[in-house]
Amino acid sequence: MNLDAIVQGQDADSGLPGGSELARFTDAVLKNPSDLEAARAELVARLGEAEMVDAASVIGNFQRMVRIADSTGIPVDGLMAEANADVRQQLGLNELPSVRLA
Amino acid sequence: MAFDYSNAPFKIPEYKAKAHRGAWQYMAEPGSWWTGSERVAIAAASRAARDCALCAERKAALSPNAVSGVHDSAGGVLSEKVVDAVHRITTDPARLTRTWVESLIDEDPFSYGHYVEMVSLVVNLISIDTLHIALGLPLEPLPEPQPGDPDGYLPPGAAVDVAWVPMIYPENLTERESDIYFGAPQMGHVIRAMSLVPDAVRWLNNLGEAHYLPTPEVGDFSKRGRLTLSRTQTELVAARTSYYNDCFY
Repeated sequence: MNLDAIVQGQDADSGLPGGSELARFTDAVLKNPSDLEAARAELVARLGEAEMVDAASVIGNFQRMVRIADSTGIPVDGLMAEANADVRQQLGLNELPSVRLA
Repeated sequence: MAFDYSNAPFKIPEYKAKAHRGAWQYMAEPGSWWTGSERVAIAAASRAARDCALCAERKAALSPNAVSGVHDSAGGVLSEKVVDAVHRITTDPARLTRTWVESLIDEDPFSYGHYVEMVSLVVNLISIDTLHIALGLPLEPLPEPQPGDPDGYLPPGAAVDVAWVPMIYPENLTERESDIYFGAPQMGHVIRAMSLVPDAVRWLNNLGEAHYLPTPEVGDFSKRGRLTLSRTQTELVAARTSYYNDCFY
């Protein structure tokens, strides 16, 4: 997967089937509600209804997980922090105000 | 019946509906630190936060502490402090700090147990509400609070180490909460984060399995639980969601 798609959304080619549609749907749910109906329909057409429902579930799940992390002050797990140091650098995660490395 | 998806425009698997009904029951019952009425009020305050003018102003400010005022919320049985905490967790979580969390703890009483249980209720609600919003479904009415008193259970193995709140390492679990990590010798911080309130971990696991993956499968990237998306597609959606929330984790 092209990690730039995490930051750039549908403007970057993730290299995944339906990656652009998944990014558009995520963006619509979280930031662009006026596009939600169209993004949902596009995702269903590209990947299927069950996949769209699962994408909605995953967005819901991570709306939850980010708040658990941010509200309890947990650091990135030690082994994960070592393993994904390059990824964190590439995505600029170390610049976030909430960053906490163990 | 709550979460009746029979007329939904999209087929929603029964296992998801069952998990949502269970989460609603969990919300309505007395917990370890809050009564059922308080717990449902916490959920109501979280929903109100989405349209709160003060929260919007704070979100736009350089520092959330630079803006004072009163939240738009039907706090009901909750104190202003609790309503403020719920609103901040709901709308601006990336700018919470250890100092802020410590400032909440007092003899009101408002303990770390109250805090962790409050976070649990807020995040479960947000997870389910987000799914409804994404699918264009109306939000489920909040449940009727159930009577009873909190049990005040404090796991003896919980201690402050790497986080702002006390957590339990797997080796310090007692019989009463021995199930919450599935017997794993190690557990990620994001699961341990809720362990001061063992039921919060149980519902973190239950909803996680319905919306994402069973907790024991999260670290194995060959697994995708019941999801129809590939694991890589799933992680793209997850990472994009975390990115929008300015979440380092």
